[in-house]
Amino acid sequence: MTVLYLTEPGTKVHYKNQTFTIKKNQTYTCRLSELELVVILPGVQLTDVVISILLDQGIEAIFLRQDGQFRGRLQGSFPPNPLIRLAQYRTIETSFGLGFAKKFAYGKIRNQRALLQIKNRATKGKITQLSESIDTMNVYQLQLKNTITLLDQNELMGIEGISARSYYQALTYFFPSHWQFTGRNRRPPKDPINALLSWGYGVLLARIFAVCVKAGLDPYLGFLHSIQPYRPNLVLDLMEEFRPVLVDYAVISLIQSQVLDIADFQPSPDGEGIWLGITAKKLLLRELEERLNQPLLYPAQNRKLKLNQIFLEQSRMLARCLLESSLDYEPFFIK
Amino acid sequence: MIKLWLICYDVRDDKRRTQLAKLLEQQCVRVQYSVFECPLDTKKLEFFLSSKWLKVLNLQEDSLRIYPLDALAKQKTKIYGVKDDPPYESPDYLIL
Repeated sequence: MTVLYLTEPGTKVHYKNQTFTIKKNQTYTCRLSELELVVILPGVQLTDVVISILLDQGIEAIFLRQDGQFRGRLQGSFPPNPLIRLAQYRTIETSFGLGFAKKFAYGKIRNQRALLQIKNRATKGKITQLSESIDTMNVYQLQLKNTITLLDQNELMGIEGISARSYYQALTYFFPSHWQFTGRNRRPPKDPINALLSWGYGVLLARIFAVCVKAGLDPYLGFLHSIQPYRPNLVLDLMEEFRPVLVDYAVISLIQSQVLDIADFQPSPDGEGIWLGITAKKLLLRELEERLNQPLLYPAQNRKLKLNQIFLEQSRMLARCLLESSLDYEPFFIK
Repeated sequence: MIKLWLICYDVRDDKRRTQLAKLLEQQCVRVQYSVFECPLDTKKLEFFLSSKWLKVLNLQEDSLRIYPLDALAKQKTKIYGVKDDPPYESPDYLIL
């Protein structure tokens, strides 16, 4: 099954004989039977027939903004499961719900640390600051794992926050100094690495949003992020454990493969942030897709699955836990 | 599970031929005038055979042949001439 990314402004998509024809400078065709997901960037024109086909055939269509942020998706008719939603609503603001929040935060920190460890092996532990960060994060990780008393949302977010600072500080060692990455900043990202990270998180958010809906969950009502209005909080929750696994991993390999150049980035029109140029966008998407299609061991089912299948399995697991009122949700861990 | 099939046909009547070719093009890749490579799993192929493709034909005059291409057959395939792409495989992703 194919994921189709339409990145170039001025692209026109038509429908003919169960096939999309995509016209820019060249004409491409894509058979509907092979299509799984379409990701659409600004400036792409879809005919009304194309939109009806996407809705009727249930092909997922996701729209992103110029800066990679999630803009929205087409929702055809779908079979929602009210039981799951009710279970989700009932769990919010209970200690049971906080249990999930803790697992999401734990999953994130553990995977961030695992990523540092994997990369640290490559440098043979020569960078002391890196080893220090790994140790520091271990403390937070254990704190989350071992405390019996329930931490409230603010405490969880606090631990997650200081751990994240330590993590992004450690990441600076993977990017050559001319990229001027000194830590995480966003809205808008002020350097190319942060722009790549933001863009990648945007793509991840879009993909997790789709699996949340598929699993029957309400994307807007979360456990860890539930206090923030106007945001798809559950999606942000479920994303946490996958940020380092997919996006950070892809950005590090992209930069280390040295195919990108500062010239592939441009200042945003308001001059405050940095945007990806068309080449940077395409290269990042390729890197993300390579990672998404890589089979990884999925411990919950003890078999190898592609990362995009693991997304769906994790949200189904969450839905099941909510229905059965059990706290068996296990974040997905990399080694 | 077989995921690629080679489909070829002989159809007497122009109208029936066009109709069949159009139906095949919906799911398959045309590699020669009357030869298609078809990236469908066994179940889906059977669905199309029972629902559409065979109904177009007059089986007293026409014929449709479908050969499975498993991994080994794909590997051993030899291709010469102008259209020299390897046997078709659905791409995981397309960035346009």
